[in-house]
Amino acid sequence: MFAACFTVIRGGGHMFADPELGGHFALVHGSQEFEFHRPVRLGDVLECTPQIADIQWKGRNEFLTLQIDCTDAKTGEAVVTSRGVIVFLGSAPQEPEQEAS
Amino acid sequence: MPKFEDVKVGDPIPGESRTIDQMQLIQYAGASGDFNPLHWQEEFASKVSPTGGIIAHGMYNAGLMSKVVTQWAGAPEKVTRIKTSFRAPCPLGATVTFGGEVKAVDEATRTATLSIWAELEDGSKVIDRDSSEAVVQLD
Repeated sequence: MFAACFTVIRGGGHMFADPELGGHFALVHGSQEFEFHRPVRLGDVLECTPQIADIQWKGRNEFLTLQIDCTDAKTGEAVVTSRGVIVFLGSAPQEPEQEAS
Repeated sequence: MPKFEDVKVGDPIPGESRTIDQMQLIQYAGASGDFNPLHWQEEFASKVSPTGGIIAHGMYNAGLMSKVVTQWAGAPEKVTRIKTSFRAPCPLGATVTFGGEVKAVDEATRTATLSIWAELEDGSKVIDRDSSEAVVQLD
């Protein structure tokens, strides 16, 4: 699953590059989805745009949904959409009124 | 490569088992660029891991899952969507069994949707079948 290299790993790198986000290495991968709009081909130049699609917390854990849209840099055509949930362990705010149900 | 006409709901796809060792996880770290010490450093893992020890990368199991689906599909471009939900952690030394089953077919697009899963010997759902699936373009 080569798409992981240019989506999950690179996109995850951007999360760590933002100190205000508070990302840390005590994390596990909750789920991951790839939707291929067309096959990834040799010679493709892909433009990958990561965005934080959602943040929730449950108990002591935080759940961040990272979506990465990869398009063909030449044609703008959609190639791959990656959607993953990263679970940050033990760092959720503990004020009870902020907890998700 | 399966033909649409031959595929029925309930059909299993050929599965595979693998025992997870440290070398595979180090190789996967190198191949993917995911060097989280949770997957190779005992001391770090003992502090943060849900099992108290080193666990496999979710994406390593997702990659093995994808291989099982791709082998059934006949070619990588036939797998148009794959979703893996990582429910239980997969510790070093565990034997993971990957499987799948056709849960729906669509005549208009000539696709099959598979339930996919990966389970440990104790039944732990490393990839949970209720929330994991793949869509395969059939001939």
